Amino acid sequence: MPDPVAILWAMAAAGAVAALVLLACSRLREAAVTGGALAVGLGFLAGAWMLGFHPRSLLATDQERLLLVVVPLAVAVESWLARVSLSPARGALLRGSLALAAGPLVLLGSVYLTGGAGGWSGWERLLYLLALGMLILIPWLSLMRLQQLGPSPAIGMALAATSLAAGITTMLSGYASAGQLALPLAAALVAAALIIQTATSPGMPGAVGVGWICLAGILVIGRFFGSLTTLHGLLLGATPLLCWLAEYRPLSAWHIWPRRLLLVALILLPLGTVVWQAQGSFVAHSGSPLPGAGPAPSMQDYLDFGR
Amino acid sequence: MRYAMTSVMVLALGLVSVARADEYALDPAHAAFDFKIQHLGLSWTSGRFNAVEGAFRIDPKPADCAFAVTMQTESIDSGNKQRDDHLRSPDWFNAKQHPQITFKSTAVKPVDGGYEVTGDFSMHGVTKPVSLVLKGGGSAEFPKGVQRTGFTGSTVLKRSEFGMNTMVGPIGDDVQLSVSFEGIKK
Repeated sequence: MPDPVAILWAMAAAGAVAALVLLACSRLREAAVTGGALAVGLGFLAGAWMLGFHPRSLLATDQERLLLVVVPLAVAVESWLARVSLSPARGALLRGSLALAAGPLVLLGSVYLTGGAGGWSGWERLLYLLALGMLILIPWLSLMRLQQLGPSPAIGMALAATSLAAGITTMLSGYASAGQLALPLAAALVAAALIIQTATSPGMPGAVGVGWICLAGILVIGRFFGSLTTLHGLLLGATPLLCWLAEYRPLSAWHIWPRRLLLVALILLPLGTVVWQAQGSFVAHSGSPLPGAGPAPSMQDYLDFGR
Repeated sequence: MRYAMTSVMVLALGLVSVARADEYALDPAHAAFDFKIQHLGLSWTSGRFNAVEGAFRIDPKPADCAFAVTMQTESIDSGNKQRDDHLRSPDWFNAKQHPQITFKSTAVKPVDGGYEVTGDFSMHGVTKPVSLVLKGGGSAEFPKGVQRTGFTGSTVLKRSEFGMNTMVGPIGDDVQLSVSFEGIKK
């Protein structure tokens, strides 16, 4: 359960692993382009491990399927695409295949696919999985295209900020262990973006691609296994796309710092709104104690109890 | 006289041999599957599963009795929406992955005033044998023309044995499960 100290350690571990992987890859000429994808993927997994993710099998839980199957596949796809020169259409096809497979993989064995109470019927299954695949694929391709237009750490930072907000919102939406996974993801993305920027490494597209899949995966499990609302999930998923605004007038004509500041404000606005709403809903449904008796206990209060 | 005695004995034996098992469907309106778990070692927080279905067979031979119950995990209700959302998540029951909690008896023994029922209890993807004593078994006709019987019992489970390890400590590991239900004769 959310323990700030454990989360900070996990974020530190994720950032350190991401940084070390990037630095190691940058020394190996051929591996440099794959460094970003590997760094974010391994950093995320290291952070998850620090938070107590110790898998019992490969496919039993949603988190195992995300962390042990979908994320490694994303790392493999982005690493491969970074090394070979494929046409944009073929690249999109490969990413599309993974995006379409990600939904069924994460939801494997759940009522959504087995048709139990609260699950999907045959047509719903097809429709929703297709929609889910598109909701993963379109931002993925869009962010990759934006990253190609101008190498900048902005997208990585936007993904990191969104991961932080997604983590807090998912925790407040009743799925604590999934939400806290997003925090080391944010740390891995920040470390990757900073190192790639300072070392002018070519690995940023891979970092963005893998970072997006990790973030989308957390939103999917938060929505379908926790109580993250569809609206919050969609808003969080769409927020990194606001980076596109910097490419169009009037922002594109601005000097870099005012432009960056406005972009930060534009990104923080929806993220802050979502977190604020989730917090309000959490408080409203928590059954607060008697008036004047102080705030409702947090999960941290439970962890600290008896210490 | 001897002929008459033999006739009575044959008739009695015949009655025993034709005594049939009674099949019952669980009456969800008169079924309570409640749990209690300790909070900070100070008090007990209770909840229930609102959606329950099942069936049972009462046989003159107790070993041939059988009980089967299914609870919908999603229907958990502890009287606090935020807590229920968390209980449904994979941190606890993982309701979307394990939508049902089931019990199916494997052995029934008679005890004073009821039965000792042993069976397979499946929860959170783990199946373990569980025993409980069900007391009752009286019968009533309610409403007219509807035969019903009922039982009450309880048992204690360790949630960690079912892979549910969240916050063991402040939230107790032992879960007291109490059941009380009526069945309508089919």
